[in-house]
Amino acid sequence: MDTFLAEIEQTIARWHGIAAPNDPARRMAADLVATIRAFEDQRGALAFEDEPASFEAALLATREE
Amino acid sequence: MTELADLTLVEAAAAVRLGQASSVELLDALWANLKAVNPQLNATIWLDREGAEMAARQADRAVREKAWLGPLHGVPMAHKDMYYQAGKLSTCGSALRKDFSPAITATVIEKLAAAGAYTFGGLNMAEFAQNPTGHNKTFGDCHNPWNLPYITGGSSSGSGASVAARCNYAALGSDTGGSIRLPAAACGVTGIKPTQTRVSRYGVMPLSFSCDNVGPLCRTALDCARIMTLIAGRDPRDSTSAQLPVPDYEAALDGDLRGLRVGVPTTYFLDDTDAPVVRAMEQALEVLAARGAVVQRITLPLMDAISACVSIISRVEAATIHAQWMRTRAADYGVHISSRMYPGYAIPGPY
Repeated sequence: MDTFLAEIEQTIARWHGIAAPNDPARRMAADLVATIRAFEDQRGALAFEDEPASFEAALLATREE
Repeated sequence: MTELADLTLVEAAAAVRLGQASSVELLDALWANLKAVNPQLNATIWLDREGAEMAARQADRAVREKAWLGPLHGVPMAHKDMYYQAGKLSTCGSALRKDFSPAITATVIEKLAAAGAYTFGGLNMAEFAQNPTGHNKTFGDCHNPWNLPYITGGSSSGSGASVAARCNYAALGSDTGGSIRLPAAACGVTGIKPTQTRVSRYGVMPLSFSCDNVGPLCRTALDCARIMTLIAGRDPRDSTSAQLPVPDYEAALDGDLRGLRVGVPTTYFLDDTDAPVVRAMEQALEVLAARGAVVQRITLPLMDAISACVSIISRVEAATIHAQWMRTRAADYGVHISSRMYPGYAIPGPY
C-alpha cells in the first residue's frame, strides 16, 4: 500500500476511530496529495494579519477598475 | 382542475384570497398532476394528503370568516425533506434518518405557515444534501420532468422537479455548493441562493455551517421574491442570521434595471463551458442590458485560493457532524458520500 495513504488511514483511525468505509474512500484519501499541493501553491500569499483584509482589498481593487 | 396547478405561487395565493379558487381545489389540482407524473419523476419521499386536506379546509374556512393569515394563505407547498416539522417525517434523504421525526419546527417553515401556507409532503433530495445530480440510493433517483433519463441536478432534486412539473407551487431547497442553483438550471425553474446568513437555518438539517443557505425554487422571480420577503431576517434561534432589515423584494421587481451593475466573470465559471450555455447566458445578459442594467465583465480575484479552500471546507465540516455515524454505520451511507467525507478526517485544523 502507498505509504502516504497508509499514514492517512492511520491518522484518521488514531484521531477519530474511523476506518475507510470502501475503496473509493481510500482513493479519495489518496487524492489529498492534490489538495496539499493546491495549498502549497498558496503558501506565502497570506501574511499574519492579511486575512480577511486582503480579500476585502482585492474586492475594492476590482470595484475601482 | 389541473389548470389551477399552472398558476404561479403569487397567482394561486391571489386566487384563494379573491375567492376564485379554494385551497382544497389548489391541493386537488397539484394532486392530479402528482398522480399523473410522480411515478415517473419520483420527486417526493413522503406525502400527507390527509393532513394537507385538513389544512386546506381550515384555510378555506378562514377565508369565509375573513381571517386571512397572510400572503400565502391557503397555498399548498412541499419542501426538500430536510426542513424539520415537529412530529413529521424528515428523512434528509438518507437510510440513516428514514424514520426520523424531529421535535422542533424550522423557523422558515413557521414563517411560511404564519403567512398561510401549509405542507403536503417531503421532497426527494440527495442523501444529506451531498451530491449534485439527484441520485438517491435509498429513496430512488429523481428524474428530470423535461427528459426523464436526464438528471434533475442536486441536491434539491425534488424541489426542482416538482415545481417544474406543476406538482408544487414552490419549494424550499438548500444550497451549500450549488444545490439550489443546479436543480433550478437543470429543471428550468427560478431559484435563489440568498446571501449567506440572510435566512435562518434553525431547524434545517446541517451540512456545512460555513456554507449552508436556505432559499426557494419557484416558477418565477416574483414568486421567489415573495418567499424571500417572508423567510429572510434575524432569528434569535440562529445566532449566525444577519441583523439587517428585510427589504420588500417584490416591490423591487418593477422591471427597471437602470443603475444596476451586473458583474460577469470572464474566467473560471466559463472555463470549458458548452457553447449553447454561453449563448443562453449572453441572451439573458442582453435582456438585462435592454432594461438598463450595466453589464460589466470582470476577472474575479483569488479564485485559485478560493478553489483550494472550497475543496476542504464543506467536506471537513460535513465530516465533523457525521463522525459518529461514520464510526458506527458507515455502510448505511451512499458510497459517494462516505468516500467524500472520509478524507476530511485527515485534514489538519490549521487549514
